[in-house]
Amino acid sequence: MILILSDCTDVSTDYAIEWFRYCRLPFIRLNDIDLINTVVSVEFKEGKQNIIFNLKEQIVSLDEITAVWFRRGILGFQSNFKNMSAHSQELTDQVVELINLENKTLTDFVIAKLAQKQVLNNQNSYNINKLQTLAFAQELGINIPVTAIETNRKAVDAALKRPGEQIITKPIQDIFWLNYNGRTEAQYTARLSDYEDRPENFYYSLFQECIDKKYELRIFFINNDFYCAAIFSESTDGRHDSFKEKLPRIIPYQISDKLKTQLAGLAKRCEINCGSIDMIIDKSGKHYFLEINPVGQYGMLSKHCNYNLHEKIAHYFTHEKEII
Amino acid sequence: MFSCCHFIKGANRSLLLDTQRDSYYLVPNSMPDFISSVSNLDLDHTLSEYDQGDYEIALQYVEFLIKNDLAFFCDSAEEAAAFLPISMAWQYPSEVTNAVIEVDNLVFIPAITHCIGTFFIPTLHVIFLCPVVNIDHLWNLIKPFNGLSNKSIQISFENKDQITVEHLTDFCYHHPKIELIIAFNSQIETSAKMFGCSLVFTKQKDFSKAACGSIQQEYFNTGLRHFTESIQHNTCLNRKISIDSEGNIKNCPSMVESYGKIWDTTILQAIEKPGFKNMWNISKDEIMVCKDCEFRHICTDCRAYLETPENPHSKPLKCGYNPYNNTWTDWSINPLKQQPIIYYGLNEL
Ligand code: SF4
Ligand code: SF4
Repeated sequence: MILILSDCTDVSTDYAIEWFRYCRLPFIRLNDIDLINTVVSVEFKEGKQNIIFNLKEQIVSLDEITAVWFRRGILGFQSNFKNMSAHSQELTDQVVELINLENKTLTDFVIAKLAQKQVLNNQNSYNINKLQTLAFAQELGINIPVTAIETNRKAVDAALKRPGEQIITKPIQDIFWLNYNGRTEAQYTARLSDYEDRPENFYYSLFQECIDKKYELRIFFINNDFYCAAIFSESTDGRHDSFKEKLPRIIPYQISDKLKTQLAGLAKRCEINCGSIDMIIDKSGKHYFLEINPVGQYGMLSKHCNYNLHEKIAHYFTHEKEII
Repeated sequence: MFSCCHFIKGANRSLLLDTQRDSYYLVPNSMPDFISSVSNLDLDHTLSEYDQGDYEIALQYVEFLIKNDLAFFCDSAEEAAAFLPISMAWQYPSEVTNAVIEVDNLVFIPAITHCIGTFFIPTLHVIFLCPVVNIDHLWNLIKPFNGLSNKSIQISFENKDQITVEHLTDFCYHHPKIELIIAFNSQIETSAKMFGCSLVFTKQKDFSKAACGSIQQEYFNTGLRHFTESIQHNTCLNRKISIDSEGNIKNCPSMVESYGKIWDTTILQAIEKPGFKNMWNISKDEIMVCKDCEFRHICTDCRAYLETPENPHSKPLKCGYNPYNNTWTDWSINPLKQQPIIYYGLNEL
């Protein structure tokens, strides 16, 4: 039985599941709420540990689970403890904190046991630290844009300013959404020159040299197999705007064996075995690594390059079935 | 050239298909020849060896490709070599991708659902030939098909009692899997979108077999999936199965050949019978006339109504295009087609 941890809106899971069914792979898909308090019991006896799950009303023991696809769902625990009105707020807070700690221990243990199965990724690496990934890339000899986290203009200029070149700024971790006055705004990559008045001092912010892009690369990998596309977009305005404009060209591209080895090393250090990597190629042909993401969408890549990635995911699990 | 763009060479001209932007251009046949001779080479150097006339034309071609964003320049041969062609493989995770089911006699319905069983059919097209009295009737009729294993359902019915768009609102809301409803023989021509379902009301009277199979430019499909399927398979019949109003399991309702009856054969058994899948693999490159047509891989096909009924590789009867002089005419009045038209009984309509 293959466990798929996903969410109900993820179409990539839908497509992959069609292949699971076609390949006759037994699976159970768990979305959002299906993932809360799934454990019936954890027992240590007769020299071994066993976990009994209740997965959408189906009782399954740890032994029956052969593989797990950590797509994007998070297995976790939630107590229905709200507050103890009879007691003080102080006591309530302490109990909540205690329960959270208990939950964390339980979750970590269950995940560790599941991680011993045939797995694609792990929920602990969904939110991989972006700075850490840049560091790993640099250590593996993969070129990255000059990056600096600073708190004042002088330091930014000193670190990055080159005549005639732009500087961009973006969130240190992920794009985030701000809701205010009934509007939603995304915080994404922007050119520094777009800001009219820039304060002299500011809170820790990330700056990067702006690469004079020829095209971007989107690289999907699964178990050291790489599927890469070059994306030509006319965007001149920061990086993450590209898809808003005229349909970009997305066509198959082959990365060098050297880069493959480096990226395989990077994935390993990030502890993910399936995901997407974004890179940029500048006008002189130089590669720059931007980010690695285990939960991103790869449907576009699969569709435009005819890579059939949904089948590749199912195939990963069929392959292992034969070994077991 | 961007690898999502493909040439389809015809007798007199070529079609340059842009699968990514869903568009196409009609170009001279010398363009694909030129492109294949210079692709991934040093353009300036190659062109310098051309004589004046060819040079001008070549330059025009290059300009055309760049202007329409169909090609791009690489700085080196190594860079160009990294751009691989798109795979032409066509795959789908299901034995059958679509089924057409004609329902006339309601008594057949249990046998129909039984012969499909738990077999997964992504798209189910149910054509009700029996009169649909009112909207409640439609609710009842569709019930047994909802339970079948599928992704989406399309239904067509004769709109005897003037069911309206309003009537269908609640119906669509409660049937999220239904993506298309065609009400034929309606009093109005209209279309609407309702909870993700397309509604088409047409005055077209006849929705029976004989109305199918017409080849029109409006039906051309410029997507990559259609293109890759067309290279290897038949774009109408590949992975299609049908049950006609008499309970015959066939490639399509208009075909003569039956591969069993719903009472004694399951869908799975029928498709495994010798001959059933033959139709799936008749590609346009093997069909007479079509193989010289520049539209062949964006075109649909029909194997039930043929120009030469006894030849399974003959051109679709209901196509009015002539790829040798690049003109469209009305097929039904073409003197050369009168014989097959009578053969199929299409003249009686
Ligand atoms: S073969 Fe012809 S008649 Fe049959 S479904 Fe296809 S187009 Fe229609
Ligand atoms: S000849 Fe007609 S049916 Fe054949 S490919 Fe051309 S347009 Fe389509």
